[in-house]
Amino acid sequence: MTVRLLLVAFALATGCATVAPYEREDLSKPGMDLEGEGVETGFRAHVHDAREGATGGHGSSGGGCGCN
Amino acid sequence: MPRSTHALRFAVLGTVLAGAALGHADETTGTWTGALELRGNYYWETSTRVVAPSLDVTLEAPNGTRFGVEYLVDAITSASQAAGALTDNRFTEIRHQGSGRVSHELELSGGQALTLGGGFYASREPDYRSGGMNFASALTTADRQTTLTFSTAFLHDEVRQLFRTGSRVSPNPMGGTDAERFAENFDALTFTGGVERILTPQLYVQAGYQYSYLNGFLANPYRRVPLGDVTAREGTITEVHPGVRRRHTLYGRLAYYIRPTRTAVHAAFRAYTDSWDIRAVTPEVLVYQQLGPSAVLRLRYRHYNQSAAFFYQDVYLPADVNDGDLATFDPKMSRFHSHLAGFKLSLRGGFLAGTVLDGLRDASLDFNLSYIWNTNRFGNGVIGSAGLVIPF
Repeated sequence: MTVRLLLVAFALATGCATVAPYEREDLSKPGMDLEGEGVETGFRAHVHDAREGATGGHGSSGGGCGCN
Repeated sequence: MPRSTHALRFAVLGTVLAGAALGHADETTGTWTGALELRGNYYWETSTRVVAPSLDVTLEAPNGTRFGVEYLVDAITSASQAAGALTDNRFTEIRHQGSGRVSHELELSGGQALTLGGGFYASREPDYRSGGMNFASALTTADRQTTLTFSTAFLHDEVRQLFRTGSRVSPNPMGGTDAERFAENFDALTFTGGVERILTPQLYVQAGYQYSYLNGFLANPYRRVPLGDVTAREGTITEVHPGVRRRHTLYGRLAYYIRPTRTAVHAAFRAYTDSWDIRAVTPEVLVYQQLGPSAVLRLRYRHYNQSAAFFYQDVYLPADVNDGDLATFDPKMSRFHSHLAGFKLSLRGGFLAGTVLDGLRDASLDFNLSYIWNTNRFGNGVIGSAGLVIPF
């Protein structure tokens, strides 16, 4: 199931038409660009890493707090 | 004060001072930009409370080079359950974490761009040291519509034991006497590859794969595994985890902007498996709703569901296991699931323009709170934070 979803996503990613730079205004609207949430996301990811068996996908690599 | 603590603080201070010097260059040329982010983080659950203030500074040079430093302090108050002991002792540990990062975008022929970056990370608490470095790259196509990313990170952790109760014979900075000192390490190497693609003027997708290889001491030096039932009336044995762990993570995200309602919707998914037989899925939905010119409300739901590690048992019978065998009392090795629901309110300071607080008109303030319903022994939890971001 997961692999199928990712394949669909990849097909979408490689198959769509060109979006000109002047058409990308909405992509920089609040909520679309998550670059500014890095610090908040980092702490939250650290909590999840310390409390869950899985990790990854959010840039955290563990360390400290018994996160291994 | 231990020498390593001095070293960490000097490293962070030096990097911050370097950032301040770069900030001065901004005043001179008028072309440097940056942001200062102050944040207070909080985590609560039945057995653990964490208060973690942090400071993050980002600077961008006229040539596109970006610098960043972060300093964070964790005050971790734990009862027995999180620490793994079987007695109900509460204690507080302080963890210091510092990191630095730099990246630069290079223009390639044909209009493509290559961004190269790297960083370091160091964390120290009385019984645990962690340090690492990472390298990241991103190749953007000429139309700036597709970005391929690759990164690698190396982590080295030193796990020690600090006697918190009873007769603490020696105040050795890493705990215990020389004869008793517990000293184990582990290393981790991570590779991540991904793709980001703009699909339409309102839609983009991200997808990637991450592989991690961990080697060394991967258990908890304090935690004991009760035999029979959790009252440990039949004794305890040492927690022992396998010394190698291979982790695989697939992740993806779709983000869509609904212009008429000024709403951004993110659907994310993560699938995970590792060599300890833990398999997990993590679907997540985020909705950002613009509320007027200065406020954005974010709603978040996250589900997490995992299977148990192959060596996990609800009950270890004395007749079936010996001290030194694989055994765990770690709740995150068990089969469990959780639900997280939360909100975040972000306010931009534009409404302060022309007032006595005009200097904060470009700043933003946010509050967020999440509640976790968890079915394992950790129990339910709360994650909260408040942040102030001041661009300059």
